[in-house]
Amino acid sequence: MTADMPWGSPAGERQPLTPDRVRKHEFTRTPLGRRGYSEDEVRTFLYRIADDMAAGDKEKADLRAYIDRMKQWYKEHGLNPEQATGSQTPSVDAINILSRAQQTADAQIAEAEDYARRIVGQARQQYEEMLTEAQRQAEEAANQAVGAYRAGDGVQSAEAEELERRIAYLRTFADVTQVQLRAVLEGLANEVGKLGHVPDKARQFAADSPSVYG
Amino acid sequence: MDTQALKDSWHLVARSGDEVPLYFYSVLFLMNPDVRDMFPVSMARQRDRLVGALGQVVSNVDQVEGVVPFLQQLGRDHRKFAVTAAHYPAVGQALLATLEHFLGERWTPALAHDWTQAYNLVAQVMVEASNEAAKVSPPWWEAEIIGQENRTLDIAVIRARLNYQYPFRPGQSASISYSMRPRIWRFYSFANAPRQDNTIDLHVRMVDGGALSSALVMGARRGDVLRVGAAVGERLTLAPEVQGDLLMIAGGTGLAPLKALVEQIAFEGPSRRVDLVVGARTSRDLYDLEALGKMAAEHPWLNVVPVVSHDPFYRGTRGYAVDVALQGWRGQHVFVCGSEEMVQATNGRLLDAGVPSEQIHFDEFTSDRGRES
Ligand SMILES: Cc1cc2nc3c(=O)[nH]c(=O)nc-3n(C[C@H](O)[C@H](O)[C@H](O)COP(=O)(O)OP(=O)(O)OC[C@H]3O[C@@H](n4cnc5c(N)ncnc54)[C@H](O)[C@@H]3O)c2cc1C
Ligand code: HEM
Repeated sequence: MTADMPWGSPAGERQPLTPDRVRKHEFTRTPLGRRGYSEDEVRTFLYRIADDMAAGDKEKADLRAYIDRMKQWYKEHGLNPEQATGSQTPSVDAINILSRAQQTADAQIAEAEDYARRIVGQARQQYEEMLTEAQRQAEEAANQAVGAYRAGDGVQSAEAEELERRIAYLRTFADVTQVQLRAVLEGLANEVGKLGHVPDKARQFAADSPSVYG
Repeated sequence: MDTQALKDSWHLVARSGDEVPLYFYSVLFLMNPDVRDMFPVSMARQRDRLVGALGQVVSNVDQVEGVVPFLQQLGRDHRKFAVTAAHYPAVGQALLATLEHFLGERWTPALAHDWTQAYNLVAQVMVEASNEAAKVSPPWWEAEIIGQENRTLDIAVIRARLNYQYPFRPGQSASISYSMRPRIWRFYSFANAPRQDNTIDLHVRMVDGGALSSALVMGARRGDVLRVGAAVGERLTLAPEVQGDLLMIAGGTGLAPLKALVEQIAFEGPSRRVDLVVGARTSRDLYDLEALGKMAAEHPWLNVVPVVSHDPFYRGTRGYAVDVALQGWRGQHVFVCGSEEMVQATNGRLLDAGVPSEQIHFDEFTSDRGRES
């Protein structure tokens, strides 16, 4: 079986390909002498592969020599190349630039937070005032309703009176608050949404972050 | 190891104040750009969390035995930031570079050697604890929001389902982060006892200008994902030695852990009488009365007393929760939870009234990070 496979080696263990082996490789002939590939084309192709391999080998050897020279240099300067790689402290300039950038970012975010604090604080106050006012008006309406109920003729019961009171209260309360409150809430939700807005894909950060058990 | 030299040198460095963490992070990020993404965009407030702790812990390495449990907890907890063992050398390098910069002439090879050793020791404790924890639990759980109800302008009740079984006890909290505000972690208490279906309830109050709470109250939607760290906190859990009837005082969303305790007592017993005083500024802030009313109706041993402090139209009990609670104190253990101010004021009143301090159990919703145990 191995003999039929172009790159198979008889011993079963692959011998490493060298440019020379590629160039000299003989293919088994097809039994009837036809339906094979053009011998010239195969040969040309093999030579091209061999050239590429040779170039790759040379590059590897050059790099290895370069690394050896570097290692020697480190040794001469009393350094351990394994530790030295990447452990050079960045320049003071670079550190300062990054520090200033971070401070600028911090200041801007603090400003945005301050703005958010004011917005929410104002909305809260507006909301409280609105509700207190609505409550006051509703109490008034409820008392009026009870007054009217008592003045009216017909059988009077405490339960019905309480019901009148409740209905009048809720109706007035709802009238006063409904539209305004929704406006406050929507405005607030908008503002909060705008702050620190992150792209929508963050909504499912679960998906793109490493989750050990995910 | 010359521990005095470590302490002295850290004292010197710490004198440069905010410049120190600024320098530390710049070095860290320049040398390891991939680490930048683990930290929030704004570093202003948390700048000193890591660096301060780092210098403090490492320079006190001679007392390391005393803080081993803290370091272990810290190491386990760091998994939620996606910190792995491979990150520790980077932080150590940045620490050394920072010390070198601020100590100048005083930075000697001997000192460098001692700092390296001390750091490695601390890092080792953290890494080992983290590796141990990795065998039994994920670095964080993910919880999909399945319900978000705005109960008031600033309070939302959020229900979320965790992706894996999540061990916690009523009274505990966890640090939580939300996909809309990545890398910001805050503590929230569970408002329920563990359930079969792995869902949890959170009671979140929006803090003006607060980064996470405003997003959760105003922006959280069904389908959004929360990250949940391991459950922490023992202050409000029901220890076996706490026997007999209980008096609970809740301020605002401080109700959450107390409600979880009530659920636990309902499920597991032992049966005891529970008086739960729920304090709020206005009647509108009594955001969970419906559920509490239902629980009280189901459990004759539960007595819920809403108390409102700043609402002239409120018809029920008015005043501060602690005053109402004290009228009913008959020697029970007292559980208190709420904002820092509320808890402090309440504790003061309880102590003044003669409640023994060992019978007062409390936790505060400080706006900074919570204590781990
Ligand atoms: C153990 C524990 C359990 C908790 N449980 C709950 C719970 O169940 N429910 C709940 O609602 N909360 C709970 N909390 C509180 C919660 O963790 C958060 O502190 C709260 O939600 C506010 O977080 P935030 O990110 O919205 O606000 P943050 O962004 O942390 O802001 C907090 C405050 O600081 C102010 N601030 C922010 N930046 C600055 C600045 N640069 N300068 C000055 N001021 C600033 C903000 O305006 C705000 O007033 C708990 C806390 C702890 C410790
Ligand atoms: C001896 C080693 C370390 C110590 C003593 C230490 C200590 C701390 C402390 C006390 C905090 C604040 C706790 C909190 O907010 O929950 C913190 C936060 C943090 N640490 Fe560490 N840490 C160490 C190593 C590391 C390493 C190796 C990394 C990885 C790069 C790391 C990344 C973080 C992050 C991302 C935060 C959150 C910062 C924030 O949100 O402000 N830490 N650390």
